Amino acid sequence: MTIPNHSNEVNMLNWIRPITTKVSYAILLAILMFSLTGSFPARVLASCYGKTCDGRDPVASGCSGVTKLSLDLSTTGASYPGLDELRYASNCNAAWTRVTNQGCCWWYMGATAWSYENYSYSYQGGGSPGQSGYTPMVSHVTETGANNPAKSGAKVWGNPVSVPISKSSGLCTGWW
Amino acid sequence: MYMHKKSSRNTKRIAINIAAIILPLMIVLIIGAVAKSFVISPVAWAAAPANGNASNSSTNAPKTSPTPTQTIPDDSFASSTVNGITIYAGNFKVAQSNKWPTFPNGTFLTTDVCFDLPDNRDWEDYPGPTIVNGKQQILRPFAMEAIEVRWPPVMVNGKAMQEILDLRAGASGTPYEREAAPGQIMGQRCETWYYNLPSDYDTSHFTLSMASIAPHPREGELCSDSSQYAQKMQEALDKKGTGIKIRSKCGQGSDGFEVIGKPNGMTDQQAYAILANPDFLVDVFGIRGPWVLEGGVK
Repeated sequence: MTIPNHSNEVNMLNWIRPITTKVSYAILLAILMFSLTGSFPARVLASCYGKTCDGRDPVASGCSGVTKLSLDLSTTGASYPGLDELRYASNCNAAWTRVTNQGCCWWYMGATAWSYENYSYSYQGGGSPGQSGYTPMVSHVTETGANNPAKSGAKVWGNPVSVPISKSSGLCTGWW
Repeated sequence: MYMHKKSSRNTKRIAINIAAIILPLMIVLIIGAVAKSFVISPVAWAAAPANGNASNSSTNAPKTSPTPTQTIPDDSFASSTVNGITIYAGNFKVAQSNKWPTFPNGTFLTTDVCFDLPDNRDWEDYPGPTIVNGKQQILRPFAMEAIEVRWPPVMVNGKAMQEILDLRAGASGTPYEREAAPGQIMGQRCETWYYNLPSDYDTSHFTLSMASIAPHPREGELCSDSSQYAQKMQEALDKKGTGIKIRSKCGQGSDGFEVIGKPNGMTDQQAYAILANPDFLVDVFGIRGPWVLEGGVK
C-alpha cells in the first residue's frame, strides 16, 4: 500500500487560500470606495421632464421638489392659517402647488398651480393640522423650450374651497 | 543555489499577491466607472424630451451659471454661527411694489438670508426670521422667495463637486455643477424674505433673529419607509410621554399624520396641537439657534 503524496496539493491550497481572501478584500475595498462617491442628490430618477410632466403627480413621477415661493396665508385676510408654496423639481423641470393646514382643526383646503400659458391643475380636499395637499404639475417650459412661469394659489377654509383659485387673487404668489 | 531559488519563489509569490489585490480592484473600479457614466449620471436628464428645454439638459448640465449676478452672501452680509450652522443676512432694502397680490402697492422690507444645508433634505427656516427694531416693533415675514440652492458636495470622479440650482427670476431651473471649496462639507440655501412695512416703522437699525432650521418632508416622504419620519415622530411622542399614537396618511395628493390613539380626556385638537407644532418637528429633526444678526436700512 502506498501512501499518496499530497504535498503538491497542500502547497497549492496554501497559495490559493490567501489569494482568495485578498481578492475578497480587494472587491470589498472597491465597493466601499464606490459607496463613498456618488451622484448629485437632486438627480433622482424621474419618469417625466418638462411638458411630459404636465398634469402628472409629482410623487408618482419621482419629482423631488424645493420651495421656490411661499406665502403665509394667515396674512391674506381670506384664509385660515396655512402655507401656500410653489414647489419646483429641477429633475422634472416642473412646478406644483402645496397647501398646508397650519391651524387648530380639520379644515378644507384647496390649491391651484397656474401655468403662464393659462391652464391650471388643482387639489381639493381637507386635512387635520399639519396635513398638506398638492396639485399635479405644470411644466416650467413651453413646447418651444422657452421658460413657462408658474404661480401658486391656495386656501384653507371652513367650507369646501372652490377651485381653480383665481390667479389674480390675493391668495396667490407671484409668477416664477 | 537554494537561497536563489527561495528568493525567486518569494518574488513570484509577492507578484501573485499584488496581482490578486490590484486586478480585482481595477476590474471592479472600471466596471463601476463605466456603469456610473452610462447609468447613474444621466438619470435625471434621460427623461428629457426631444423638445422643450432638452437642448441643454439631454446630455450634460451647463457648467457655468446661466444667470451670472451678484454672488451672495458677499462681504457686506452679517453672519452668525450656532451649533455648527452659519447664517448670513444682508441686502436689506425698502421698496414699494406690486409683486405680491396680497399687498397691492405694498411697501416691503426685504432681506436676503443664506443658511448652511447639512445634507440634501429639504431644509427650511420656516416660519422665517423675525425683525425687531429699537422701539421693539416686531415684523414677521409674509412671504419667501428662494434665490439659489447649493447642495452639499459629493465626490464625482475623485473631485468634490457641488450642484447649484439657480432659482432667480428668468433662470432656466436647470442645475449646473461646480467644484466645491477645499474642505467644504455643507451646502447652502439662499432666499429673500418679505416683510409688510407699516408706515411708521423705523428701519434704521434692527435685529434679525432666526430660531431654527428643520428638514421638512417632501411630498410622499411621510409615507416612505426609508425616510423614517413616522417612526421618529412616534418615538419622540413616546419619549415625551404624550400617550399619542400616530400613523402616516398619504395618497390622492395629500400628506400627513392622523392620530389613532390618545389618552382618555385628551381631545383631538389637543393631540394635533402637540403633533403639528413646528417646535415638535424641530425637536425631532431640526437644529436650533437662535442666530441673531444686526442690520438696518436708511
